[in-house]
Amino acid sequence: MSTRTRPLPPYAAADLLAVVVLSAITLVGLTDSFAGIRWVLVGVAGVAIGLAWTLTLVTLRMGLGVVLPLLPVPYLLTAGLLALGSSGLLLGVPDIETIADVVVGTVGSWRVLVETAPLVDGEGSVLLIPYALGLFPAGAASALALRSRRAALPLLPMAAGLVVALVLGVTDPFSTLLQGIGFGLVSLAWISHRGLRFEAGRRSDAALGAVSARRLLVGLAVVGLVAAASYVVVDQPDGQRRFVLREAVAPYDSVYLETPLSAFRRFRDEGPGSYTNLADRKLFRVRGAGPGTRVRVAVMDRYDGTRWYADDDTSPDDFTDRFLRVPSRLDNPARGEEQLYTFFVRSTWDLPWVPTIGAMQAFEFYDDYASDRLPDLRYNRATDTAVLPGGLRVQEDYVLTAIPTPDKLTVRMKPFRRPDTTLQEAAEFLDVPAQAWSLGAKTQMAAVFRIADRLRERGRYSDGAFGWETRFDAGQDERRLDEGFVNAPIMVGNDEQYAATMALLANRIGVPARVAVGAVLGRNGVIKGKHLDAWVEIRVANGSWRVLPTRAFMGRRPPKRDSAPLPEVRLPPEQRPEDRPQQPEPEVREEAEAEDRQDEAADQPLPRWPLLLLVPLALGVVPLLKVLRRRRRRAASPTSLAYLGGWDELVDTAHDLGVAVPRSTRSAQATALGVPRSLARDADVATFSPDEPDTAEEFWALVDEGRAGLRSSARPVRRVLAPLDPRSLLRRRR
Amino acid sequence: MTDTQPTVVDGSTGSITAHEAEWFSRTFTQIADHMGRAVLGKDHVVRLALTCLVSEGHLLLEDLPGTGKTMLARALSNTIEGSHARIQFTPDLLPTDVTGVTVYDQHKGTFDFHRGPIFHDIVLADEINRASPKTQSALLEVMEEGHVTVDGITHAVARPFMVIATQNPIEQAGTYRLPEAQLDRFLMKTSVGYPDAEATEELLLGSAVRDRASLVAPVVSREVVSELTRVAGEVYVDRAIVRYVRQLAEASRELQHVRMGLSARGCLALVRVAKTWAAADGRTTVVPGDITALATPVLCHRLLLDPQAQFNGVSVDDVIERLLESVEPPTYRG
Repeated sequence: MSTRTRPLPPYAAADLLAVVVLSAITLVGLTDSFAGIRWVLVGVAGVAIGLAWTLTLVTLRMGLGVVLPLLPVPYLLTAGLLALGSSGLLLGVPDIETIADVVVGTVGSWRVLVETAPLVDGEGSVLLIPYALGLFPAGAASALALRSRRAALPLLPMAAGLVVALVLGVTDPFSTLLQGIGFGLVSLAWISHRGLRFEAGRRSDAALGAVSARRLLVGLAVVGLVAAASYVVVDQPDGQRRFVLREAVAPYDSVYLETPLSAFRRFRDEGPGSYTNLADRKLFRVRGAGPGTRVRVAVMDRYDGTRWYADDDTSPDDFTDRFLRVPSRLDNPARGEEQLYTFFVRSTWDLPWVPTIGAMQAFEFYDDYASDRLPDLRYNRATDTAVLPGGLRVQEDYVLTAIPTPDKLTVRMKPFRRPDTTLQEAAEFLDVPAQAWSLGAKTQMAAVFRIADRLRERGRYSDGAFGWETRFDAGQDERRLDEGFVNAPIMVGNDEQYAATMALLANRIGVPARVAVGAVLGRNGVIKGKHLDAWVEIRVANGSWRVLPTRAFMGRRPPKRDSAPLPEVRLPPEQRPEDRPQQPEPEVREEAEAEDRQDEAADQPLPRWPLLLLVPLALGVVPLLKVLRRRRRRAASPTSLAYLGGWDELVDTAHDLGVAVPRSTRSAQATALGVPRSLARDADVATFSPDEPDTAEEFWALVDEGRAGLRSSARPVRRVLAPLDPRSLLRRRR
Repeated sequence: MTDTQPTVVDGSTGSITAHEAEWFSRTFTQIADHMGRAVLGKDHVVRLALTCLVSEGHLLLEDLPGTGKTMLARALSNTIEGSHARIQFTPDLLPTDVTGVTVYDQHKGTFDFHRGPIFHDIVLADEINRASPKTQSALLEVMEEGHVTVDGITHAVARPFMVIATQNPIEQAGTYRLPEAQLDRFLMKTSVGYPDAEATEELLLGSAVRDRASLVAPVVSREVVSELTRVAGEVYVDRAIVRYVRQLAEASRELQHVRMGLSARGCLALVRVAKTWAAADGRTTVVPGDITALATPVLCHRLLLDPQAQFNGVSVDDVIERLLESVEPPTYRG
């Protein structure tokens, strides 16, 4: 044996074993943070390197003053190869660049970890965390164990490592209790063993008493230290959650992002001249989702008097409502079967919100060249909303793995037991309409539906883009929603005002509600700007959010310039806020309604029932006119006019069924209507050709087929009402 | 003649028969399919290129490197029986390298004209914006008038004659942007774009074939091309269509961000290619859908936007889309 080395003491094996066991307990704290097995291997490698480094230096007779300050050296030399997977120079020797990566990664990796939704992928700079948590505590503890004769001193770096692991972990790891018990037992056993070992044979009986007293004090100090750490890192008895770093870092600044609700007019026809308008632009095509699937673009869950916005960390006691980076698999529990949805980006989407469906489980870009944008993606599990700063460019298609979530809302459902007091206060300016429109409702949910009915019946729809309607501004601030909408002479707005108002009204009566913007997919899965709607989501008793669809609270009747001003919304005298009962009293209200009905009956001077006879007569006129029109078109001469009439008949049928027909070429109309393009081609050729076709019978047969197809795909209600709809008779011809 | 009887315009005789249209469509499709062997998954671009050839126009392809611009050009030239040449445009290329040069023959004691590569049927001008403006201008006369004048003597080029030029929208250092006058000589400008997933995989599976253009052998003679051109020229254009094109041209001059709208030559180009496009669809008449389908490739290099447009992120495609939205296509005869 060389004289420059010193053999390890015989008790070293016990100390090293204790260090290894305590390191393992520390690393267990990361189980709920990382996915896969690689982080375990890296952590174990860290422990091994830390121990090997310390043993080597101790064997070379180096003291604590050298061993401890030099601990970063093995970390810097090996972390690149073992944690980052960098090959460096020959045989894994790191180059300057690798060492720089380790330093930068160490500084920033904790932030990446705590800002990423668990389970974090075991790759990249985050692996420096288990590596460091393995190497530094193990290296320092083993050095102290071998070089110091203080029994409890080696426990300090291990306890520090445990605290760091718990602070970096998730709020509810499965292992907190096991870790605490295991760590405590092993620590006590280790301290006792070391204490007895140092005392044996070198103290007099008299001295033993003093030593025992001192050991007691040290033991108490350790217990006190662990208790102090526990106070910080475990749940408090008063229900307050334990401290973890991922809840303490500043939330993502989603508040200042432009919301699709604020930008809603871009999704509606604003007339020529607006280049940012997306109304007719194909934005996305979704594959894998059937017709009727609801695609969410963004959910806005806070109102500040100016606008609805998507807050980050909305609720202090809900730890899933943050916009976190997205790992390859999200821990986002939901019932149901996973589905794969592919979103093809058809036009540049410059809003930062990424459309999603259901509860997202995984996200990846369809092509690798966009994958470098993945670290910028953030997802909020509470609102199922994804954010990607800079939006999406064409061809940045993505594949979403998600579980569809139930969203049907019925009047029988009970709302969530706790109202959102912040929103309830924010909606104070709508107190009168909230109370006035919910009068008579026997349950809170019935009140929500009643308010929705009032909004729909009272309001008119306009995007404020053309002619005199430009006076109806965009916006959702208190003034726009109050004097400019609910209490305006004419209550006019579009999805933005309706959804913003509806959600505030619901919150005002104590039903948690938020606003969402998205689209309901059609048959072809294409989402154009004009397909986007704003709806309201209501939180029901089981905590899930259900959809109050746009059509429930918003009609499509256009405003009339000369319509009579609406009366101001007022509460009846007996419903003044100061003496209003907390719970509705159905019996009293029923009596009042009966009295109202009697009063109304008394006011009517003449019976109106004879007027009802006019109804069937009026109903019969429109279908009759349509039949006559169809016959005239079919028999038109020359034959090209019959072709022309055939196409017009098809377009009119679509109008009657409520299918939007673009004012474009016939081929574009055919595409929009889902009829064969050959039909448009035949009509065009017959119209613009110098030769007259012989007969139009075949063409009309195809037109009839097309009309039948349109009818069969329409909703039953529309199908029944279509013959009665007079609009196609009034349609302007080009 | 009834009120609805059409008026023949644009010099067309309107004499194309349904049989001729059917033959045109079949031949056109055969050629396009043949070219499709080399240019995978780009049927629309192939048909545009072929439309350009049949319409006696010239094609400008602008796209990123490696997207298949040159492949498309070579596939087209290989499809036609006849001569073709490729000129790699570089900053030191001289006009005489393109048009030809007069050389003194010592034995005969005369000056002989040695024809340049421009005298081939199909000329591929690769990376045209790398040549100096002087050399680019050497193409002006021949592209517009079909002949070259050297030392005061005019030399006609053969028919069909088509220039397919390519340029790269990035790497602008050391390039000379084509002037508007030169751009206007091109009937269409388009890009090939990246292949879709299916075409890419097919391309990779066939990676053993180094030169896909070599898979394309000549399938049509010059005479057939001339006949296609004649038939396309006789496709009927209704006055309503002509009015639609005029309205588009007028609207283009009024649009926000447009410094220079559609010229009369641009209108003519649009009608010309629409006729070929209609015949390729087996029709004897042009319909509004032909105009809208071809608006982007025909107009995109003819509309000049103001600097504010670039500042606002408005592209030519946005402007054309807005233009088509602003003018309603006709549904009745003119």
